[in-house]
Amino acid sequence: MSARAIPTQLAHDAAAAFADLLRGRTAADPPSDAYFARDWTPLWTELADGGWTLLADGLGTTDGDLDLLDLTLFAEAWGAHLVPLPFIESIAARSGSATIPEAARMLSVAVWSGRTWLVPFGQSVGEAGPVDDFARSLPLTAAAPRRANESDGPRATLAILETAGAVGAASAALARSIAHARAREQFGRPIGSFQAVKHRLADMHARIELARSAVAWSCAEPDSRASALGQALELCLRSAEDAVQVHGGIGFTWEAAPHHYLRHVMAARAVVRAALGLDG
Amino acid sequence: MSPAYRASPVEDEPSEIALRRKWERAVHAAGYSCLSWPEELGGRGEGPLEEFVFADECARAGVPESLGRVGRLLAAPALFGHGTAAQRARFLPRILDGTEVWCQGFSEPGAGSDLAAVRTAAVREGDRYFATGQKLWTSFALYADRCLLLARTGEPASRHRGLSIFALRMAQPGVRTRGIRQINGRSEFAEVFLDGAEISLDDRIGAEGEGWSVAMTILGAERGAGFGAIALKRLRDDLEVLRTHCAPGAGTTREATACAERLEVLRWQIMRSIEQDACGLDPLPSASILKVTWSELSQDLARSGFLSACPEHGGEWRMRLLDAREATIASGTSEIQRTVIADRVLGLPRS
Repeated sequence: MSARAIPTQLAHDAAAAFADLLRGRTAADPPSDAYFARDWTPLWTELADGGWTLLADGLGTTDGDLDLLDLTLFAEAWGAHLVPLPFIESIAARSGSATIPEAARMLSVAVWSGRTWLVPFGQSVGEAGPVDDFARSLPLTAAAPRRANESDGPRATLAILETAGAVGAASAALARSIAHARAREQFGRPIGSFQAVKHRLADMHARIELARSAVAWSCAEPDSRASALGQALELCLRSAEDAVQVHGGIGFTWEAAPHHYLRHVMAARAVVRAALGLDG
Repeated sequence: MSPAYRASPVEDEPSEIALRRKWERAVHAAGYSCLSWPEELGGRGEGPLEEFVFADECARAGVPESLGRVGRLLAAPALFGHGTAAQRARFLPRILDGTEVWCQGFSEPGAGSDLAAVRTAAVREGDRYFATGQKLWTSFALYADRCLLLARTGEPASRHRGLSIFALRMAQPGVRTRGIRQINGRSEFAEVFLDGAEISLDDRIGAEGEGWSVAMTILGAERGAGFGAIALKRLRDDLEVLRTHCAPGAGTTREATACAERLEVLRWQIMRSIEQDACGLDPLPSASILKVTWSELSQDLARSGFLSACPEHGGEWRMRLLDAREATIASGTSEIQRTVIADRVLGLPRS
């Protein structure tokens, strides 16, 4: 049986509904210091009540409607908004779990960075330890030593879904870049009318599509996961960098959106590498 | 990275600024400032190639970056090319010995790549001008003494024709500055708000309405060898760390070697550019090649460092990756540089 390269129609429809919900709750506001400082717990409650946190519970069993590839759609939709909640981490932690935690419980997966245990959103799940919030959308707690008592399952799921989240972030960065290129005028016309800018946006789009393909590859071939996800993340990184470029001088300011997507992709890469055990 | 290493100078830290001022005074005291300037102005009458070689050697030795880059690399060419002897006598010694720090007031919110859209106006009243408007991305503005200001002296719609360049005194009531926070968290550039800022006639560089031509001299310098030397220094620093400390796997070593080769070619490109400029050719196109090349190499190097996932330097590399985004935007975006190359060198039809 050959592996699917695209998610099912069911998954597409469900993910579209999920994306609508997220758009409604974030009002498509751009990431900023104020955005990250918002109280996001009402959204978490809504996700739990709506059953969205249970998405990965049937993974790998005959009961499940959704496989890994299907779940990447949800992770992508999630990543586009950079909401600082452990959604991806919770569904990954739940997948393949022997016990079934209640729907509203925030969970995460500890990954070994080679020097320390990292827990994404550690603060949200009761971990003590210094927090690295280089990416406000993906804060990492350096947690206390522990036995690696989880099976590899949740970590592999985390790696794939964090990568899909990064694809979502890169995709959102592209959307904002397109909007900027349409609105910003120099030389009496929108900068998006210049070939140099158009071609860069085209390249960004192409890279994001390739990143999606790489994620599909990673779902189909567990042995190639490190290569596939590495490729995907590098493609996302290049695109997120380009979002800064398209925004020009503004793109290099703290207040503007692009660097938050770039930081997210960089932090996601660190989590994914640790989840795959690449840094020993 | 060694304790003295900095990914890029932290321009808003007081102790860092003090160190750089100190270094600049030491270089001046030893007689090495501005080697290519005429002796009567404090230089040694050497050629630009000698000046570059000195800068390159300093870079290899890891000296602090000077605070005087706008004064020495941008204002000085403007004064040599378009200023009066009296202006050179007034401004250059204080640029040379570092007692006057300059900033550059060109970009505005509505005039970035399209510099001819500048709206800051300098209105003439008798023997002085009064300038009103807003400048953006002004490095060094927070502690500069002078601003190399591009302002409109002609009609509002006069584009390239109605511009003039001034040496604006920063310490006056009509000049306010406000730092801008960058994606790396620092505030190394600023907004400058001008509200009836006073400029004496003596401080206009070049004729009224000649500003675009003076600006082109300045932009050529900004994209040229002087800045190339600064870029080389930063590239060498990064490459050294990548190669000796962060390249555990064959992949990274290959990348580091490739970057090293590109760096050496870049150095030769700078030297050839200097020699070509000396023949009186239009410096802008060759400067554009330099700028595109060093800025993109700098980003590739930062990215290689980040992707190396070096456990020891991960924190520095990720900041370096963010810092490196500026290189292809500031001093003329890569998009504009390529257009200059296409239009001026290749003679392609204008967009």
